[in-house]
Amino acid sequence: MNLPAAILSTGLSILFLVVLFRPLEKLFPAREGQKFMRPAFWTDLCFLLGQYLLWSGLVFWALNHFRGGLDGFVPPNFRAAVAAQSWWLQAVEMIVLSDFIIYWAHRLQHGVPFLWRFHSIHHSAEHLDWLAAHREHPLDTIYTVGLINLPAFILGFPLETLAGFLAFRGLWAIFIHSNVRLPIGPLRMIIGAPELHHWHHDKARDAGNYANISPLMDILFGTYRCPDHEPESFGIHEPISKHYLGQLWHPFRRRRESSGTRESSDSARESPLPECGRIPPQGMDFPAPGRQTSPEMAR
Amino acid sequence: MNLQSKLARVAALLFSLTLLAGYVVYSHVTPNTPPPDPLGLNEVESRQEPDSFAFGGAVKADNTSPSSERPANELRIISSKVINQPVFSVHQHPRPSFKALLHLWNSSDGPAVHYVDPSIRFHMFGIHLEPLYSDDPSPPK
Repeated sequence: MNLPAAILSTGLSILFLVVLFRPLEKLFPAREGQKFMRPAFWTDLCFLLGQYLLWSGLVFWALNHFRGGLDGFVPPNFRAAVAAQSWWLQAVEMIVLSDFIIYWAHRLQHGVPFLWRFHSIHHSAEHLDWLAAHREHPLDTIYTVGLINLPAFILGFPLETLAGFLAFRGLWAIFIHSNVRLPIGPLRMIIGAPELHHWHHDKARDAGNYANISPLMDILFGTYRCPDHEPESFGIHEPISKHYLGQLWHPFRRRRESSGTRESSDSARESPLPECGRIPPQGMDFPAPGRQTSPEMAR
Repeated sequence: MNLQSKLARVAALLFSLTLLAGYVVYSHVTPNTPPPDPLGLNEVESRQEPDSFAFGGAVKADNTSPSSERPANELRIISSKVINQPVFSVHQHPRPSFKALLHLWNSSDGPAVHYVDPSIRFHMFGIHLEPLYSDDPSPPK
């Protein structure tokens, strides 16, 4: 696909995303009064256009080489043994392994200063909506997408058989960033929900809810959080450029302190599993509604 | 909340759910389309001037192969978000055009014959209209 075709397909895609998500954001807002053209709208639009028009080719190129490199290491009879299983078992294995790997890879992004340099770009968004989901450094994308595809690459699972499911997951991953609060009830435990991921974007760096879509890994490893209100604020504490190019360059800037920036928050501690909206009993490490959760305010 | 806003909410929800379901079903049943690659990192094919475009369907974040024999531009992946690729894809096709082809050939039976072949091709949004006349006419006897 050349540039004009890519521009046309990008325009169609943006139109589709606006038509899909904007009515929900308007009628079911998680934060009342957030406008379509909110602050940093153009920065996030640059990220979207960059992802679609510039970096997608780089990501596919990198993944293709990654996959090709893996082919040499995976014994053919291992793949034959995997392929001999029933299709549904392969699909479950692939999904569970992908979720497991991306959960821990995501925790590493928050815990390892070098990875956080790149991942902090995604968290620098101070206004969450469908567009803010696209704010991601291209090298962070390669890391994430490479690892989430690792099981499929190794197992040799035919992903085209799950095309509809994967398309749903892709759009749902945008949805959980959107400025929407929908009461989907227990379905939240299977496919995730914006209120969970919004807490992941709380200003606290280790705010929990690391799972990609389904919160099952968070529940399993004790990082599930679901207070009954929206976080006070999104973004990060460290200074970062407000502009697209500045944010792309941010991970490569020299730092005065490399590892002393880890933040912690009372509200981010690992926790048992409460219902959304239920006030946790005393002793549980949850913020009361309206309580500021950032470390500065907590202090 | 009054009845009007309740109805608006239900309508918005149904509308978005319908779009979502339509996209998911469409992604599942349409053939795979190659990922956009404006930088040409994964393409080896020759470039043509952009003319017109056909809707290529939803780009599916799926379908990889264990074999490294698959060309790079056919790689399909799981995307953590649909951010690595546009949701939809278009294909490039030649512009709707009127072509007058001048065929020259020499026959051992007679003198060189000049033959003009007007042909029209349309490619619009995946609809391919057959040319009105053959592109490759047989030489007149």
